[in-house]
Amino acid sequence: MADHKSHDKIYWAVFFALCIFTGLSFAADELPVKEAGSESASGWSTPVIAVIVLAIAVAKATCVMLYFMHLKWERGWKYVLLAPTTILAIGFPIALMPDIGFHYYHQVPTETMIEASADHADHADHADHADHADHADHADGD
Amino acid sequence: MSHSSHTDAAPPLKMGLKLPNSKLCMWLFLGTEIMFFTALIGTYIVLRLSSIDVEGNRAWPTNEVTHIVTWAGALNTFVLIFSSFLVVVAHEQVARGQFRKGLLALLLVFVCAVLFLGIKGYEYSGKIHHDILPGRIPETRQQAIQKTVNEIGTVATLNASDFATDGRGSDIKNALKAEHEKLETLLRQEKLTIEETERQVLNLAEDERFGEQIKSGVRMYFIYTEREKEKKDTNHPHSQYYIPYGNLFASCYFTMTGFHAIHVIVGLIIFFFPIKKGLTTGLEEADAQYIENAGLYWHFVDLVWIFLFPLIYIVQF
Repeated sequence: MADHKSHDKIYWAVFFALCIFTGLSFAADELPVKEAGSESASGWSTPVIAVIVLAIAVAKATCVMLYFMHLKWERGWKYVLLAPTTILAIGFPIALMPDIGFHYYHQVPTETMIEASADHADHADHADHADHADHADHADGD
Repeated sequence: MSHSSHTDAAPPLKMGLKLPNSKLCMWLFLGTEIMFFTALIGTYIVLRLSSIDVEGNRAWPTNEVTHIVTWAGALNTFVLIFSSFLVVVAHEQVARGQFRKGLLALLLVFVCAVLFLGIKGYEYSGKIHHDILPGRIPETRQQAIQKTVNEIGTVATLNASDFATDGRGSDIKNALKAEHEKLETLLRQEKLTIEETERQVLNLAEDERFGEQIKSGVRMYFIYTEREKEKKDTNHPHSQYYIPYGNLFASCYFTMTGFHAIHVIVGLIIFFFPIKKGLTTGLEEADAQYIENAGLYWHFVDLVWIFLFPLIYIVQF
């Protein structure tokens, strides 16, 4: 094992930073969410919250990997190991998106879907997940 | 046995990476584990993004409907991060020869892992209590009505002695069967709306002959009481008779957190051995490498949870 000078202070600092990040992501849950269909500027839109929260997650993961897992002080093999896994990790959801994620055809309404959309209209307390989705990838003809 | 002259020093050129085999093996294993979890999490992301309703709006069930407890997830995150930190401390102490401190840190890691599993068990018991389980959640009105009628039929198949012990049991059972037949007929004639079903269930639950059995055997009654409670507490009832995409949610939730929990249990096993050694014969300098490798595994478990927590508990797409 390579002998290195003590990293104790760094570990404490990293732990402290991780706690702050965790607190931030928990606080993000309390952010007011922009209600669907409302034109008001109050509240945060859901994609923005998602980006913030995932950015915090990536920051935490980087802290753990670089410092706790000691990768900052390891040699070149870390790239050889992590490059294929990263490529697969990102490539896999991208590969699945066209098959499962996109909706190509106009939805044929079935009895159940008509019911569901009628239910949307008369359940006012459903409002929290009737977001308007700005699907750039939503290739629905209508 | 004569020693021949070729038992001289190893050749001066040493091939291979300058890290111990065990550490390299652990990293290779972690590479496969990363791919395993990105498969699960990536699929979850794709499925969640694609869960839309007829108007193209996102329709994944909210945390309230599925009884997700965010503070429990946040607490679990903190517990795992703290245990990751402790593992690093343990490794440093053992590498320096401070074996007692290292053992103490390892014991605390073990306690943190058990605490994590306890909090997870609390969350799972909440899900089971609300029947948020894969395959058990009606997703449309029609499914909710059908399920309720089926459950009433199941209650009607109880033993006569479960209804009354004084010989009236079979009469009561037949009466309930008749009610069930009536409901089945209405269902076939497509005359049962969900409001009507709710009314019928409440009537049956008030009946003193079989009310208790109905109350415990029909999920709709339980949800009704939850909704009444929520109306009183928050004026905003969130329990629903049917949850679109509910089963998909439950499957994703239990698959991801279940596999993660299995990895935590395996971590418990991995840490058990140096703890046992530390408590009996005592740790040595040579154990530092094992602890480092165990620590790598444990950090990976922490990493997965760092991604699971926001994706399940916080994001609202």
